Amino acid sequence: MKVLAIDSSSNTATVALVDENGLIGEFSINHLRHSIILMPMIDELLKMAETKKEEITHIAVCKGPGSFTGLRIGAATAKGLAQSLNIPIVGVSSLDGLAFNVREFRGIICPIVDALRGYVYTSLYRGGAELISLSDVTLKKAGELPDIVNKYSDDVVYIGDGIIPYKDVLKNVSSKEVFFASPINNISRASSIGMMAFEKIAKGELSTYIDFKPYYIRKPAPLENAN
Amino acid sequence: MNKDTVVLGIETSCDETSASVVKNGKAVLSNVIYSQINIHKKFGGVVPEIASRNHIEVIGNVVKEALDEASITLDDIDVVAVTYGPGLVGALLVGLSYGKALAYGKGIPFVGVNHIEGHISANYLDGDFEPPFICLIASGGHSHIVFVKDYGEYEVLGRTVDDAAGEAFDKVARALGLGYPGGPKIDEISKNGDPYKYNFPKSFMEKDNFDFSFSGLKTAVINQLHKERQNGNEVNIADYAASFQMNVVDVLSSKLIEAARYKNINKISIAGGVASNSLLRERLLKLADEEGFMIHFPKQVYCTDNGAMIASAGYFDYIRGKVSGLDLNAIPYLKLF
Ligand SMILES: [Zn+2]
Repeated sequence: MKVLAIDSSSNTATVALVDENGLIGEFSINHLRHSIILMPMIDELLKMAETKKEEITHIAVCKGPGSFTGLRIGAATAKGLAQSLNIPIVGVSSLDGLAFNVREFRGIICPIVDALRGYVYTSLYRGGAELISLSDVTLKKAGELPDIVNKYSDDVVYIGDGIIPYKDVLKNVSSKEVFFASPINNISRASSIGMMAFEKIAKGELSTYIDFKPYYIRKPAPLENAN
Repeated sequence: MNKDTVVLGIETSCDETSASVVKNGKAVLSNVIYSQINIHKKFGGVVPEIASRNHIEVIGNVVKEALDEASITLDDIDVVAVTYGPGLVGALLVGLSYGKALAYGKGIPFVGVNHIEGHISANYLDGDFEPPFICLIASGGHSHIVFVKDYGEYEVLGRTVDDAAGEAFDKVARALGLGYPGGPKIDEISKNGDPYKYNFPKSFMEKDNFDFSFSGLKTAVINQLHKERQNGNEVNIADYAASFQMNVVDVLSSKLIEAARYKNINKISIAGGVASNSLLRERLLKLADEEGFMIHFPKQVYCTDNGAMIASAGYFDYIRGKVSGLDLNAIPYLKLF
């Protein structure tokens, strides 16, 4: 199996080629302009890794949550590749991907993706030899996170672009150590999206270029305000 | 070129997701249009985020259906042509990203197409109409008078300085309580109205000026309506619609004819959603007959946003040597040149 992984759901455009043994190649640019650079990055990655497009067996793509437009650039790119190469799509949550960046952390891993206006997309994991999911993805006020994390006695690591605006709020955690992921681990990595995709492939959780959809959580503005 | 060139065209600039297969720029093998109009109706206009969400959900199926209807597979496609502007940026990015990846995966060329050029190219579909001609493009997003010198060679003679013609139809329809989209509603109700009841001002009617302005007209209609309502008069919506429509048709048709005279070209055509307007068609047929001009109307289905017109424009771009890079971005305010 050779998985081409794509994530353009945050400020980082990232693509990676992974197989069962791990990373073959990865290309990340933390500089927006995703619609301009994403396809050239994929082309460059495959060339440098001397991999033919026909060798790719799956397209892994970040399904969300994240920037609506960014998610769709990734999803549309994944769909176009999946249709032309006649291979399936594996959708991976942005939070799963971030948590995998710090999987070895022995404690609670709390990825937070900035959802603007004081909100974050988040979920909890326990790290270690394996990454264990403790909760579903939700939209929360950043200020609610310390209370949620306090339910566990373990140390906690926060990861994701949400730690930049909300660092001070997130520090208010009692009786345990609070860590923040390093700036290098704190960005989305397509390699993590790709590694998480292997679990889904094993479980048969595959999508096609026809049925794959981004996962936004938030409704479009006019519908959200109507509720 | 001895061999046929088969182009897959993809269009997602506004609220239609469309894909089409066109041979040699003219022969339409399929043209699948998924319209979101019923989704946006209740908001009185296109909501960009909702449009983008629908595009990404349906685009795979729309492309598949276009191939199936043409009874071909992706292996038979020579070029992928995609709209990259003008339009709603989030909506454009869906089709553009999809088209780039599709072409890349198949190892075939990809051509970014200007949406306005697409509307002009609707005139080439299923027929033998050829440049040079003068084209009026009027839709919800654009109003242009263009001298089409040759395939892919344009001289813009005039454009709107404020609202597009279709936008004026939508805004006036909303003020009259007719709902969205305004074009077909005003066209319909005007048949029961008196087009000479109100004499709204016409803008830029001086000679040798091919620009439009519809914002003043829209305001005049709304002001008159408020005044009559305040005076407690019985308001006949059909008279308003008919008088407004007559005004727009007077301006569009006289400018198109004037532009053709000015360029000494005896072939004219119209394109874009407003080209479906029945009064505009009727008037232009009459004027063209008086002037001895040849007039061409694209089929109704090619006047709305569709993939076939993009495939056609992409074909003529391609045979003239244009191929786009994988770094092409969406340009929401793209000009014709
Ligand atoms: Zn249009």
